[in-house]
This record gives sequence, C-alpha cells and structure tokens, in this order.
Amino acid sequence: MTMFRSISMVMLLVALVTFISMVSSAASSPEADFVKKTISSHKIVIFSKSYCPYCKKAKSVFRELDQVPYVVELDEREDGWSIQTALGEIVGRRTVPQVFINGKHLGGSDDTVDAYESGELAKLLGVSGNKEAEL
Amino acid sequence: MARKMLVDGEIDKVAADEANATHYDFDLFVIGAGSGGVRAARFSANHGAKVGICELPFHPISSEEIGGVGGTCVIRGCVPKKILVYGATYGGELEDAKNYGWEINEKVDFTWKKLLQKKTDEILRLNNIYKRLLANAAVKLYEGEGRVVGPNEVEVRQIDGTKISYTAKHILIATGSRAQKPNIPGHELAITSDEALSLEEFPKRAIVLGGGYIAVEFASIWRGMGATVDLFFRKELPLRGFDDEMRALVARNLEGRGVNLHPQTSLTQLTKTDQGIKVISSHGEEFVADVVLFATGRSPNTKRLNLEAVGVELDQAGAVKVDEYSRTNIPSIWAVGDATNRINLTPVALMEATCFANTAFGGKPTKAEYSNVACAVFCIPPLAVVGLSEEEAVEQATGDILVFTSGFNPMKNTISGRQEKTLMKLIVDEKSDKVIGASMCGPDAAEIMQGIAIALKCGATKAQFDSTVGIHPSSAEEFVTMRSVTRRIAHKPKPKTNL
Repeated sequence: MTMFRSISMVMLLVALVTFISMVSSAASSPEADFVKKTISSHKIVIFSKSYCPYCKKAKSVFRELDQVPYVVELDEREDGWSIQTALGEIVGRRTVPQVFINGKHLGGSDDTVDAYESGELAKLLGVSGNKEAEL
Repeated sequence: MARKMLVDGEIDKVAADEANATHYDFDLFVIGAGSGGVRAARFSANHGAKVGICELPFHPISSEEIGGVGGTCVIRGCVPKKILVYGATYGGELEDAKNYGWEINEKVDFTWKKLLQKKTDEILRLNNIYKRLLANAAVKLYEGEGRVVGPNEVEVRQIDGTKISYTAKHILIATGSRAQKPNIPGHELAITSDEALSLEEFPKRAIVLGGGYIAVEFASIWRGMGATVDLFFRKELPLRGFDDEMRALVARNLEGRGVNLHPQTSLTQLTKTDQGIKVISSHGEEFVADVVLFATGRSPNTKRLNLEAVGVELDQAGAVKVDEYSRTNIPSIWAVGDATNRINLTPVALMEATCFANTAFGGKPTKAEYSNVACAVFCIPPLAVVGLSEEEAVEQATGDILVFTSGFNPMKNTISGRQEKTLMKLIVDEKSDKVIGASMCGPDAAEIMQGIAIALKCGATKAQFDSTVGIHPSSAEEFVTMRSVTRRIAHKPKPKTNL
C-alpha cells in the first residue's frame, strides 16, 4: 500500500512538473512576454485587427467614454499570428478583440459592451459613464 | 384532322402541330441527370411524355467527360459535403462533452479514410437510387456525352465512342456547373471542391483560397478534423452578399475555432517543394501546405454542348439565357439549374424543373419564383438566411426599416464553456410590418430557418411572429421573442436625376 502511495506521489510530481513547464513555456515566449509587458504598461489595451467589426465596436465604447486605448493591430504586424496564439493561451480565446483594463482581462467585444452598458466599465476606469451627467 | 379555330380567328398552334405532326423519338430529351435534369425527366414522364436522358459516366471527381447520375449535389457537392461537416462537428462535440460529465480517457483518433469510404458508399447508394427513380418513371437513360445538333436533335457519344442521334420535340439543358481555378502560376498544384471531397490522405496543413460558402465550409471541415487551416479571401470579410453582421460573426467563429484568416489577401504563386506546396500571398508571405484548395467560383457546363452553333444564346459567363419559363431563344430548347446561372442551389433547380414540366407537358405554364429562397452555409456553426439582408433591405427600401437582433450564448455552451455566440436577426418593413428578412448564425440554423422561410413566403408580419408562442428552452424561440428594436434605419429617398 505504501509502495502504491509513493508511486502515486511520484506520478503526481511528474505530472505537476510537466504542467508547470508547459505553462512556463507557453508563458515565456517572446510573444507572451510582449503581451504581458503591453498590458502592464498601459491603462487600456485592445488587441485588435484593423478590419474587424467587433474590434471597431469595442473601440467605439472607449470613444464614448473619452478614453484613448493602446491598440495593437495584429493584422498590421509581422508577428501578429504569434501574438494571437500567445494571447489565446493566456486568455483562453483566439478571437479579437481582447480588452485589458489596468492589467486585467475584461474580455471580448460583447464583454466590453456589456460592461459599458452596466456602468461597470466606467467604474473600472474611474470616469463618469454618462456624458449627459457632466453637462 | 380539322383545325380548331380560336375565338379571335387565329389557328390553334397546338392543333396545327398535331395536324402536321412530325414523328420524334422522344417528347423530351434531357442532357444532364443531376438534380434538375432528373426532376424534369420524371415529372414530364408523369405528365405522359416519352422521355430520354443522358449523363456522363460516374466518378466522384468530375471532368468534361466524367459525371454521374445524381449530379454535383449528390456526388460531389451538398451531400458528401454535409457528411464531412457532420464528421468534423464531432471534434468540438467531444470537447464540449467533458463538462457534461463524459470522461474520455483514451486518446481519440480521427480516421479520414474510414469516413471517406462511408461517404463514397453513400453517394454510390444515392447514384443507384436516382437511376432507379428514372427507370420507375419509364425514362430511358443513356450513358454518354450529349450535345445539341439541331433544334430538335441530340447526339449522344457513348463510352465506346459511337455516336447516336435522337430527335425530340423538346430538349432540356440541365448540365450544371463545374468548379474553376483562377490562372495563378502553379494552379495545377491546387485542387477544387471535387478533389477535396475525395482526398486519399487527410491534409494536416490546408490552405483555402476563396471567400464564398464552399471556401468557408471546407475551412470549417478541415479545421474541425484537426488540420491547420489558412483561409485567404479578397474582401474584409468572407461570404460577400450575405448580411454583414452575419459575415462578421462567421469570421469570428472561424477564428475562434482556430482557422487563420487572411482578409484582403490573394495568392500569387504555388510551387512544389519537399515540405509540401509552397504558397506566396499577395503580401509576400510564404506558407507551406499539404493541400491548396481553390474555391473561387464555378462556371456553367455549356462549352461542349454545341449550343451557339444551333443558335442558342449564352451570356458572357457561358450560361444559357432563358426567359421566366426557362425557355431559350429557340422555342424547342429549354434550360434549368446551374447551367442558367440564376440562383445556383439544388432546391432552385428542382423548382425550375418542376415549373418546366408543368409548362411544357402539364398544360399549366408556371414561372419559377425566386423571392424568399432560403439557403444555408454549413460552416461550424452554420449560417442560414431567407429574404433580404439588412444591406439589401436598405437598398430596396421605400420606407423605414426596423432591425431586430438577439445575440446570446446558447444554453449548451453555458455548461460546455464554449465561447461562441449565436446571432439571430429579423428585418421588418415598418410600413407594412412584414418580416422581409431573417438570418441566424448558430447551431441548427438551417433546420430553424426552413420553418421561418415558410412564414416569410406566407407574408408573415412581425406582429404574427410576436403572437406565436415559443418552444422553450430552444434557440428557435428567440425568433418569436424579439420585442425591442435594435435599430431603425430611416428611408433616404434616392436623388432624382434628369438622366
């Protein structure tokens, strides 16, 4: 029984080491580093593609709030595909846009619009969500 | 035989024909035994006509001398494609099953060859069924290549090379269309949808050129089966001609499932290398793939029919020009289906063929009716539409347009964790309250849209949609619960000109 338990422990350790190495390799590529550095260096980051209607929708939300996001247009970069793959591994989605506020992942276009409509986005950004209220 | 006189004193043409009756081998001879040809032959025979039909020998991959009873749809189109779509869908289903309590412990393998064999068995079965349908209707089937040699004469070149001529009171062209390849250097290395449905080996890396439904469907199929797929298309979004909002969602779903999209990009060169087929894009990027599929369009199969020599008018694309009754400028020659390049869908060819049989032999002249023809794109998840897109509605509007949309994460996804929204949309003419367009992108879209198409065909109003009780819980019920207007598009009258 003890032997069985020790074998189980060894297997568990091997699995854990494998998992950690997988995560760290996924997380330590130059593209993953770029993603992490970008989202930690800017208040609002949108990973986007210039032609994508959903990206345009997300950008328009920030325009409504008089905020200027830092936009990474993946289709205009040589390493766009690799960044998108790294982004997919980090947030679990391959689609664009992916929006980050203060280093935290907000989500895609629908999540951004929902957060805007509920007032949550304005709260996250520390701004007034209703332009008319400022008049 | 006494000539009948009409009220206005003209000679009844039918009676005159009977009086000077020419003996023909057939009342109708059909060239092409695909969906339209078989339907026209059977229904004409049911009206009492003596019918002959010819078709090229069977093979899954077509050429100018290869075809098969059943035509594109059955042998190398809709049917085998849908079988592959079903096959590809299981990959995602297995992923989704985990959160529903299904423990899949062993490695799951996909065997392309097994599915391919099952697909081939099925199209052979259907090919035989179509032959039996013709035989049961007493239609005489000839295997060989048909061409028109006169207003009432068809020549069939049989497999052994011998040519036999048949005379017919009416000739129907139902030869369909075939996939075309753009003239890019190295195009001979690429395949079309014909070969894509019959590949010996599964492509681990696939490149698809084209933005139409065939391109999008094959990108979905191969990706669903585990291939790396790059899709290149000229526009910003795939599926030109469909509703823009739906196009955007299809693009997003393709990308979400791992297809690499290359909008506003074409291919400039293909070369064979040890690693595979090397492709250079219009942006100068290099890609290597096992298979390159050109899905850039189809053209009518009319080149070898000798039609122009007989005086039948063709358009610039080689399509047979016909009137509303599917009749050419030569009164004894008619054409239906893709060969006429109207709406190139199997059910439309069937409708045209039915109308032809009623007109030519049923004593009931019938025009084909092209409004509210529903169609689907079997990407994963599928898109289905009927009536006008938002853009078409705005273009054709005589008053304000109301757009109702519902976007939601389907119930199934809330458990599986799949991030994939369904979008449903109704376009309403405000003045009449009529629903003039409906579209859906999401699971079961095609199954749901067929019912919606009936409603639109009947002229249903938004109020009637709203008063219909939904089936709960279902995605379909969203079509009868869209209460609030997403947007109103005000009518802008076209500027008047003196031109």
